Amino acid sequence: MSREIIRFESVDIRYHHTETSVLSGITFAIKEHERVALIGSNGTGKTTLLLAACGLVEHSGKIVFEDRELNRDNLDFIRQRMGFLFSIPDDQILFPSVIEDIMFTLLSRGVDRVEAERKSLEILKSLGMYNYAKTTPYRLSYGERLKVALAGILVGEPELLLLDEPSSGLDPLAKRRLVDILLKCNSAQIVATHDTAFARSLCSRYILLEGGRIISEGSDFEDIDTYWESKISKSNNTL
Amino acid sequence: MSCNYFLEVFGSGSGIIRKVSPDTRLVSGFLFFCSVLILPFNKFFGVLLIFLISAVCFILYRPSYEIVKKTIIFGFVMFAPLFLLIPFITDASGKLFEFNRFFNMSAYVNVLSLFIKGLVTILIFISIFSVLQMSDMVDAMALLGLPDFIIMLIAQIIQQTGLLYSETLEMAQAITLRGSKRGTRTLLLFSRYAPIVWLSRIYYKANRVSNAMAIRNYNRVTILKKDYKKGVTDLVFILTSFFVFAISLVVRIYPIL
Repeated sequence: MSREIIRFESVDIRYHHTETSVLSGITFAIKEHERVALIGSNGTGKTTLLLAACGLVEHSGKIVFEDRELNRDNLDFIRQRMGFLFSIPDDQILFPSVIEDIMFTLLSRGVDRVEAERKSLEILKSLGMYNYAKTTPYRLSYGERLKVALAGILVGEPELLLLDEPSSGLDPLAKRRLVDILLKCNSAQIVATHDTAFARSLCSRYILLEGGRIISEGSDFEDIDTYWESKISKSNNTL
Repeated sequence: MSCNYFLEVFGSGSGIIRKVSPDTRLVSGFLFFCSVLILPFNKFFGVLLIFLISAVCFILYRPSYEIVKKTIIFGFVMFAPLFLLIPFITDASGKLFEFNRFFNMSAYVNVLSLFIKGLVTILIFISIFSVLQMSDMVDAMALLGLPDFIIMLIAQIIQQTGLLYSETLEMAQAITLRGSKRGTRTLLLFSRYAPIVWLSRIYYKANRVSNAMAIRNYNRVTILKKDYKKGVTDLVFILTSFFVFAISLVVRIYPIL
């Protein structure tokens, strides 16, 4: 039986300036190699939940990563085993050349320079970005920058990948390629998205969020289609 | 996508100095830069040396044409307003030049010297960084013995300045597209709100970048010193730049020259 990578137990999140909880009573677990889609409309707390998973947002309740409860003492240990793809890839590109940015992930973990460079070039090759190694990321297209950000994560071989709206802004072909890349990746994945087609082609399970709560879980993505249809018809009736 | 001038500078030069180790590039460049800075523009040897050093730097560093062009434009924007100060420039006794202020050659020479020196200094400064990739910069600072956190701080300041520049450029483009050219009223409205909008955008961006830094363990970096073999060329460059700096000091100090 595969082991649990991350478990959320009655997680509540409330920002200081608001009265109401952004997320409440969140309970679910992700097993190793499992890919789960976190689905919900804008503002339902998908990103907040991902940020909480790596300790960037204060929470009450328990978040357990591989039998270690997330707290200040083991934050660095846990973060080194996670990869986070931000919804705006530019935010996480911290160096002015593609190769330097990818190498950084390994250098920060004490890998020697030659090895870091070799592995970084290898990952770039697998993403079809080998020729861009020396390029400034800001000269690349959005899709290519997304790949750079992803390469910077994948090179660290994370056990858990947190992906925030990875398909937004991509054309259908780029989406397909991204799905292929992510399917090849062995890590467990939590994909925050409202793109049902993308979620269906990548994930085996979904968790549906509404108003900061989990309203349903399952593996039949038809339910998600029904959910969106009902939301749209409700919205049409109110207009 | 907007072109990022600040980030494009790094590594854009193709001069022969790229063959020496990064710390030599940084130190000799710094000495050339300081030499131009201290040389007087009101002495014949001063002017001669400024132009000589600039020419040598251009040959050694060979910054790209595009970068030189943009730097000159940037220099003009920065230093051209100095000419507006001409009516307010005082003579040796501290009095304002009284008669025909706008036609006083002495005032023009003063401002022109400042203008040229400023432009040349910026060009040399940019040339130095054109032969250093960001990784070379980090290596150079590490080889010079700077503490790791200072190195990463400097590297990040440069990187984020470039991003702020991009962000500002994008905002300016958006403002232009959304009609600031249609009239003074719109322009005023935009000018009123732009700083607030700009600051909040920067604030949220800074917040997101700091999140990314935390997750990517940016604070945990240890700079690995690469082994650069230093040869005769390194020594020649260092000695030459020290020699040039010494000459510049002499020209600055001795009134006869």
